[in-house]
Amino acid sequence: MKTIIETQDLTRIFRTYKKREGLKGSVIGLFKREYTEKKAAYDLNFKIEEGEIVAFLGPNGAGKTTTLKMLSGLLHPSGGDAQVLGYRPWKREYAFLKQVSLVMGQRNQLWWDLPAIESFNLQRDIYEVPNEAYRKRLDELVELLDLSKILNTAVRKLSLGERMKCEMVAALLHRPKVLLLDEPTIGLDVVMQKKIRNFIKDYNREHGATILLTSHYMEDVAALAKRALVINFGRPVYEGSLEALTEKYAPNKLLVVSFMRTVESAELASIGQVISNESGVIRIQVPRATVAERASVLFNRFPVADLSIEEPQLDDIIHDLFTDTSHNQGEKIIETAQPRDQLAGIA
Amino acid sequence: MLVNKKIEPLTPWRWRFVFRRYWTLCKVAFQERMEYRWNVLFYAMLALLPVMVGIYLWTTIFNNRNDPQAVKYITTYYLVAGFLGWRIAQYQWTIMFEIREGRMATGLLRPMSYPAKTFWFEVGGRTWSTIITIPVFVLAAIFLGENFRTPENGWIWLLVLLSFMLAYVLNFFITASLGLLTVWQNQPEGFFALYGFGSGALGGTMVPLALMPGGIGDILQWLPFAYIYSLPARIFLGISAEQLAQGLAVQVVWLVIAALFFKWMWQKAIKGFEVYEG
Amino acid sequence: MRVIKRYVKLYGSFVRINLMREMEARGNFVASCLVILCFPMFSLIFVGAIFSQTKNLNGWSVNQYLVLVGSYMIVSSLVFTIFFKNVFELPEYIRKGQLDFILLKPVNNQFFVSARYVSFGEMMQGIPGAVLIFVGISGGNLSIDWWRWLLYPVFVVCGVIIAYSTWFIMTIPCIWWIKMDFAEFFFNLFDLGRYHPDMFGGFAKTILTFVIPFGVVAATPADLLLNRLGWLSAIWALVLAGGLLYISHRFWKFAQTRYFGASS
Repeated sequence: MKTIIETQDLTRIFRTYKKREGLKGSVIGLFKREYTEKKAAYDLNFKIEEGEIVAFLGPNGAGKTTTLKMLSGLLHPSGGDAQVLGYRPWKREYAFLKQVSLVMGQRNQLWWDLPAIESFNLQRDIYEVPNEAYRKRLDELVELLDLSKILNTAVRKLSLGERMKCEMVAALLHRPKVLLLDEPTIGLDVVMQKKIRNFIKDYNREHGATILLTSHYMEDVAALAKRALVINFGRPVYEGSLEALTEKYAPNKLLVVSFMRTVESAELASIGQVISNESGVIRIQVPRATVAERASVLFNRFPVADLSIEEPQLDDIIHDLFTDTSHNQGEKIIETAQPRDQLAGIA
Repeated sequence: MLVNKKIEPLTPWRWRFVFRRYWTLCKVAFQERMEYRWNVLFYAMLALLPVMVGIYLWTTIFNNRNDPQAVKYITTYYLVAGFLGWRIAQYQWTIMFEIREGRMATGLLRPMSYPAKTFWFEVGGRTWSTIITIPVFVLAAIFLGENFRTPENGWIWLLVLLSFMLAYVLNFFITASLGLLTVWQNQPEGFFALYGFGSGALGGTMVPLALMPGGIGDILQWLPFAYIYSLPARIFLGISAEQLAQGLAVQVVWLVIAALFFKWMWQKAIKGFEVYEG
Repeated sequence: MRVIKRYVKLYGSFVRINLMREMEARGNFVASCLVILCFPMFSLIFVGAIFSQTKNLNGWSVNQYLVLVGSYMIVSSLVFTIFFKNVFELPEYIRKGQLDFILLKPVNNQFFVSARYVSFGEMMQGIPGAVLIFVGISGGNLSIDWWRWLLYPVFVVCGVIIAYSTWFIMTIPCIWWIKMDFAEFFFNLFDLGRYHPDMFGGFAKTILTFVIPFGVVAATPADLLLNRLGWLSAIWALVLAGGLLYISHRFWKFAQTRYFGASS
């Protein structure tokens, strides 16, 4: 399998200045400014093979979008190196750009007052897609996404979900080999989210495009990605498949029980740790290996009305993963006047 | 449906909060503008350009005619009218952005008069840029030397300031009404730009009204633009008490008309706004 | 060659899509045409005012001046039709982070950023411009060699390129200083194109020709018609056009390496 994306100690640092409070602060700010360095992403090392769907997970501000922007070519890294399809993305060579697509949730590149089809036609001209291939791809995408009715409606009149679908079409008309999706389902309703996810899955299966997506929705990840890269405070916190993640960080399962009579939490202490006891439904945490055994004990000793066994929520696992990180954000405050040090990086 | 009709009277106690509210607003705007640092200065120098060009051209003409009085008059007029005219804020743009970016919608929900807030915010911001740029114009006046006529008597400065403030508020009402058109028109920029430039031109910043060809100046004398852009400058240059009284009176009349018009527009806009947003 | 063809074809697509866009809002289009027709009116008032007080302004008669103003309007109409919506809205675009999409297109992004919007309404200024030129020529009974008419568009295009390049260069710094309001700078400066550097004294003339190049923008084609164009001035105009365009290109590339992209 070909390695399509590869990074090495990829780092990106932002410099901002802190404004001091009040009028006095503004006046001081005219003469002397204090700068802060924020490490948006650092020491990222990973490889992505052709045809994979990989998800970047992390809370807001973790550095997912920054990483994606570096891989698409929008940002120069402050340090480290990366290659996508054999190119250094930030050089933005046309040959590279013609094989890559970046879609950002809630951001629009379609012409607002005109029907989407006009924007698609313009994309065709920009990417120099031959007419026949264009027709074929357009028909295929329109059918997959069920867009035939809205193709001729002005984009500003479309709902957010419809616009998102059109955005995806615009991004795929030139058959990119690498598709970068930044929060593709953000702001969409549940039905639409599912449709977009299915579309991405189908597209990947049909055309073998390598897909990298960022999200903080668990369902996106669970539905699409075999591999996840969890980032927090700019650093990679976990990398691997979701199953491994679950096994490693969630050694327990949940028994969700309701009984025919009221049962006190204390009575269940021998079964496992009671997580919650509300409105007649009790959740008991039980080590994976012992689930079957403890369940049967439960049945024997208590009048069970209903029982189900649950995986811990991926959400909770990730949440623990995020809050567990005790790293400092790595902020440094430097005075101005000196030019910024360049980290060992690419020109 | 029972509606609580009792309106809280604006007692002196509450006035302090109202005042403080707008003062804070001014301060915030002032600070925000300070962030602009250098471009305000460039701004000033560029505003001087048409002024200097005008002065130069007319000076040439009047020098050829051996009319030093006219030279002095026109020089001073252009500089003062240019400076003051530049300090007049074009609120149609502010309002347009506020509507477009949804800030007006949220602004309407605050317990503060939205028009007043917009007005004072801009005043706060402009105060900063005015402070920064006065030296530039003072330098220009010094550069123009004896051609720049300062008023003989101190009261004139005050009267100029008064007239300018009236002019500013008058322009506020007109341009804010204009800005509200954004509620119904989604591409008003061209018209706004035309008004911005045209009102100044018709008000005497491009050419003094007295010098307008074909006697157009006489008609334009009665339009509000003359009272926004040229009256303060004319007061600066010295006019008779009679003309002063008449000038200020007409200014006030136009102000009242504009204020009423704005009020009417505002009501319409709020209604139209609800339709638009929905 | 192939590259030129591609960009011409792409520009054709831009023209087409913009025509569609403008026709979508017909009312707006008509309104903007009318508005734009109003601006020349003020120029005329100014010219009328000056020349009602004097017959000769520093060696310029009213008819000659009309040729100058007319040329200015023609250059202006081209500059604004092709570039206005693009360069003027660039700072806003950058502020909203929309630039990201453009940077990733496999097209020269300066071209894309500068040319994708076409404002047809601005072409309206060209009409009074042409009218004024003819009024000036016939009013002054000026005879113009036929070859001057052929070269005229060349210098008009030079003027357009000079204006665009300078405007673009002035706009690029908005990448660093987020709330830049250079548009007004540009309009004030560009307005100087209405006058001829010769009308002013030595110092101003130097500035208008060499430092703020807008004095050259309309003056050069007008001078050509009025038989006032020296070789040096003509060459200077061409040099300025090429040079400024090149500087805008380098500066833009430089800015892109510094472009941070909008934070999430």
